[in-house]
Amino acid sequence: MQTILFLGQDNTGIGYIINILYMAMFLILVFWGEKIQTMIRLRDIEYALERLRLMRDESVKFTKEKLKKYGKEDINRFLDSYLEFVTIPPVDMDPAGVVWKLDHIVKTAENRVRGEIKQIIPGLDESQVLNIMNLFEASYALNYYYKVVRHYYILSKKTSSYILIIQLQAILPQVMMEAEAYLGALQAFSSGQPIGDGAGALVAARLMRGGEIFDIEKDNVYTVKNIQGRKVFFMKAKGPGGAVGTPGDALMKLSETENFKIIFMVDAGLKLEGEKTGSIAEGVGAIIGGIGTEKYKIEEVATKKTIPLYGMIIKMSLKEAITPMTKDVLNGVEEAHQLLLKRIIEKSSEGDAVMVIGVGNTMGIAQ
Amino acid sequence: MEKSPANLLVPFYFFLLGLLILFSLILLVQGVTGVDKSDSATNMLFIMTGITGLVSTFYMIRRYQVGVQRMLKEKKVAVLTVEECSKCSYRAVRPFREGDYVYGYGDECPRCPKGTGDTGVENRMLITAIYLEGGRQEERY
Repeated sequence: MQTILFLGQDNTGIGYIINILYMAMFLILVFWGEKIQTMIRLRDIEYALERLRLMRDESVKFTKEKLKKYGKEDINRFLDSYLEFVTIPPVDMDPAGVVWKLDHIVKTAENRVRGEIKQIIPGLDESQVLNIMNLFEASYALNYYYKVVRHYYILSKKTSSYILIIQLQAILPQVMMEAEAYLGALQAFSSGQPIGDGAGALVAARLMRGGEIFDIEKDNVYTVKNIQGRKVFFMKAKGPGGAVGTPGDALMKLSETENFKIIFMVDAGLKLEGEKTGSIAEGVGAIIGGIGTEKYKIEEVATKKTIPLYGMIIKMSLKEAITPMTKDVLNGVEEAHQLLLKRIIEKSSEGDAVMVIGVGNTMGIAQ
Repeated sequence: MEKSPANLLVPFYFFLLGLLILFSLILLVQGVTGVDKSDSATNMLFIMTGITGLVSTFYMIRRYQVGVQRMLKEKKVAVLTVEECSKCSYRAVRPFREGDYVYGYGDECPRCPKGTGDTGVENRMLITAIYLEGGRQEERY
């Protein structure tokens, strides 16, 4: 009986070559295996870094192109310097009062950027200034991603740290997804289209229709309506510019004169992978993102006055949150609107004062 | 770092695929013609390796094609503005124009007669929604 021989098992020329190749590969992998893997991984990181650089450049170019119509060269110089702008957080060794310090620093930074844009292009209205600020922030974020990834790439290359390279490569898909979301947001920011994050503000705007609008604190508006005997305050950031407002400050101010029995908050929330965009999740607590200062103020008011905090999240991905509002998110807004009206009646009694806060970036959404 | 050859990657990728097709074809031809007349197992192995190489190459090309098609498809999205007339409830959907915003005023209602007031908004429809049509809703997972 003839034994079947595979490649490398026979005594032909090809067999010898394959045997030598196997031996060589074995030795190479033993001595330089990690080095080869490092090179492959670094190559992947370099490719991602190049894509980040292109995204950053594209974003800056797009922003400058959009600002051309104002005919002010200084705004381009300001954008270049804004990309390196730093906001130093307060010292937190003694945490007491750190929220107010952080709030002050963030407001100072925002006022400074807003002021400089107004100074360079004096004819702009508030909405246009806010939209330009949003465009700047997208470029800032992309530049930041690029610089941080470049820093760790160079550092890992210098130190030949395999662990650092693996860690960097592991977080890259997430970083790239976020960077692509920011790049996709540029068109919306430049033309003032409503973005997914504005879902909460849109719910409030729908409920505010027909009421008299009042300004309160920085970039907030509210209206008061009578819903089946309840005095309901609806509040959102002032649109249609890309503002998020200061709902914490506004709530503190309003609660000085009103005795709220319940607070409802609606906001866009990040979904987990596999969850449906536009689906609604109800819960309790201050449903608001950001750095935490507004959340702190809302919690302070609610805790001191023992007001129940109810919330609703309209779920979406990060990309959907900062790019033009999708049909699914819009359907979620409609659902949240109906659900909120139902909950106001269920959770409060006649004569109660109720606060409803629509949280989020109100770009492209008036009131 | 600034001069990365990312744009050379695609031609290089296809060059490698070309090489793979060439080698697979050589193996296949050798297997079919019989490189070792006395040993049919070696010939069979050559044929199998050639076929595997060709199948995997075409699979990689197809994946690239699908990726490009998806990229093109993703770009075909449009932001739409929904306008509604508060008098006759006429509803219109049109592409977004710069300056549109939700609860701002849009075009004039084609059904209602022109208003006589001086505010200029009597006959104009209210923008009730602005949304992205055709955007991919779910990431592949």
